[in-house]
Amino acid sequence: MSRRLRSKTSPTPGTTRRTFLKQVGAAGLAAAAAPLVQPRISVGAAPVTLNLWTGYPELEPFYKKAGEEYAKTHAGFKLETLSSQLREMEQKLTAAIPTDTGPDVFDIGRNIALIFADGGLLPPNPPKVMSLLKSKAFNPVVVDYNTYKDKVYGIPFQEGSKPALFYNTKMFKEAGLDPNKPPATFDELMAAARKLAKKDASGNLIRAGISLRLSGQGSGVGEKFWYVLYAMGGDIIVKTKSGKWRNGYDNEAGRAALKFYIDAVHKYQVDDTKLQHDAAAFVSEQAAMLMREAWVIGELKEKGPKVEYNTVAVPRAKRWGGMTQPWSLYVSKSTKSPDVAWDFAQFLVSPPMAILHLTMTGWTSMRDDVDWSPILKNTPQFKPFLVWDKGRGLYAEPAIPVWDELETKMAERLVTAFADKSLMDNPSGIAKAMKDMATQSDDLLKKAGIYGTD
Amino acid sequence: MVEPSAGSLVAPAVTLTDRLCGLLRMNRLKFSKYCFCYLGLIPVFAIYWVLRLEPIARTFILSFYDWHLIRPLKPFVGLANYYEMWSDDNFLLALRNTTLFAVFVVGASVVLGLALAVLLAGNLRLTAAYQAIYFLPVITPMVPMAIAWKWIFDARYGILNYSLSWFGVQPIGWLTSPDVAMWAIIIMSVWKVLGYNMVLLLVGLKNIPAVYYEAASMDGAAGWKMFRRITLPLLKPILLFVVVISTINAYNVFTQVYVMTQGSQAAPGAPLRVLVFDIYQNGFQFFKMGYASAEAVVLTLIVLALTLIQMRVIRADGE
Repeated sequence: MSRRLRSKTSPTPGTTRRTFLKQVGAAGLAAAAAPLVQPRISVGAAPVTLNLWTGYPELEPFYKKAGEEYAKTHAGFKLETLSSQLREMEQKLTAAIPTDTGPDVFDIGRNIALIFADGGLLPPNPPKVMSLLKSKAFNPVVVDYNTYKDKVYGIPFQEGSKPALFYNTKMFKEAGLDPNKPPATFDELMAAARKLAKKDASGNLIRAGISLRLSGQGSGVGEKFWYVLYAMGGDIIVKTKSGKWRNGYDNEAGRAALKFYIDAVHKYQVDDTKLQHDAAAFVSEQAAMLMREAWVIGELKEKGPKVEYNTVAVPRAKRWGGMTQPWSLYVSKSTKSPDVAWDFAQFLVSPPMAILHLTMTGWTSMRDDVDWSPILKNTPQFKPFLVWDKGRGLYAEPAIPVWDELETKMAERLVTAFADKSLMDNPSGIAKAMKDMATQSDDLLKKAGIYGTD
Repeated sequence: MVEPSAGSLVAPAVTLTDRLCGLLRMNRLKFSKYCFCYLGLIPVFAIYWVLRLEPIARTFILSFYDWHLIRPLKPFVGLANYYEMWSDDNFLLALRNTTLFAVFVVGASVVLGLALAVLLAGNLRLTAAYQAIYFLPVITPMVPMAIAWKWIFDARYGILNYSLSWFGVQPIGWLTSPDVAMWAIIIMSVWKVLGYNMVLLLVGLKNIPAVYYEAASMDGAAGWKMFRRITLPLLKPILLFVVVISTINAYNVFTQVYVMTQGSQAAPGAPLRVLVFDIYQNGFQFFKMGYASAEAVVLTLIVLALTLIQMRVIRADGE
């Protein structure tokens, strides 16, 4: 989330969506609420007030509600929350954590948490939390994501990047495609996109067959490119046998992924930088397909309730999988009540709270042991996000401090490449573009002292 | 208590004030005035020191360290940050883009500002209204204006492409095409500063005594000749000020680039990478404060050098 978990920018964030999701989740919440009446830790005689900071203002009502629920079984517990936009929160935390003036509990992206951990400013998880993480409640990939130098930091709280393919079923029918047979491979995806793309009399594209992330700053471009790159068999960086890292895209997979984009924009013209993009394009029916995270479901309910759509796992090529990007809860080193802080953080990811979390915010939990059936019954579009098919891999960003810089700089070069028409039917041009990008990535790894090829 | 006997000599007590007055060769009244002035200036100077001078000094010091914002170890690296900069593609691209931006924005805003000022200096009707209209963009905040221009430049819904379509021009991806994105930002930036330059130059024009024009007119000068021989030379001090201020501001361009490159419907990052954005990204996104400080020092030196060159060239030309 951050450049990672996308912030929702609706003028009235959450109101309509929340109402909708409340209805969806009410049954599930009622069924799952029973364990709440049994306290697992006693706050004790002394009242405890925890401070919680979040970079996602839309999470604040959930945190407050969860605090109230926790207080019902933990007398004397009080929660105070502070929220701001993510960038501001990152800056607040980078000033507060090193000086021990931060909150007791906070949520933040791993890019920041990793730097705190690297500087010894963040406590690793206590044994009780580790036993929860090592239970079947969490996918090992998710736990690995929070592991740095053999220690695990934070509790995976919500999913930041697990993507699926959104497709407009009405447009599928109009284009003679079967909405019950959505594209399963990237070849099928391109073929469908070509049928779904619409041009005006002057030959200008007025509806994208698929809306790709072609522009903008930052790692969002890199993440979306990785969806294709992973399917083609590549990765942005790969770990060597000796535990070092090198680029994983100056190869056939990388060239195939870039070719997919170049073909989409220049050869088959199923997308165009001049069109509206991203969720806004899908919601306003200017794009027939989109690969995006679960929050788009709430966006559609709020801003495009008449859009007929469905979701399916991101297509496969040589591999099949999806990215995970856990957004985690951390307890600060300076908290005066570490036991209560850790217990409350665990409470926030408990199954009843996971349903409440989805119900109130639209963000999905990282847990595998939640019964999502009440949610799926009402909103089946959540399925590819909540139920992970067998054989569908899960991949995550590597835990290296230089990652953010590496991905951001790669993304900036990608944007330039996507717009370069000379790369169409130009394998050597594509190869050179990838090589230049990869050299930059490797140089950053070398500078960080973690580059290796063996 | 012993009273001094009549007629005995009592040496007057020599105070610190007297000594200082002696040292500075001034009387007590003058000394008091100076003290009052300096005491009055202390709060202002203290604030200026804390907010301006010390950050600049610290930036300079940080540039010699591998100063990561969060990591506890911040080793001294000497000139390593400066060496790294000259092989950093992003920095070199940012330097090139910023220079291109500065040349065109300063050039266009000064020339157009001068043209408007000359037009409005005449006895046109509604001169005050025109001045207010041209000055309006200056007082409006940059962020909302940048967002508004993002929409104006929107390829699909933007009013600019809509207007151009009347003349049969196909939609242009003003912000999304790497070939034109920088020009879009330049257009927006010229629009933003034009009014400021115009007002300053107008003040300069109004301050040129009419007698010079009358004399030139009697000598048979008119039009372009009068402008070149009378207006321009007498306008040079204010022109120098406008050029220097515009150059400093142009090299510090950030807000409009930042706003217009964020989001999926935004301009591509690389073709619009400018120095302050590169400094921001290295400092606050990648937390490389030492490196960002070195970039900031280089930016300061570039602007300082350009300012000195401009002052020397324009003044020498004037003399």
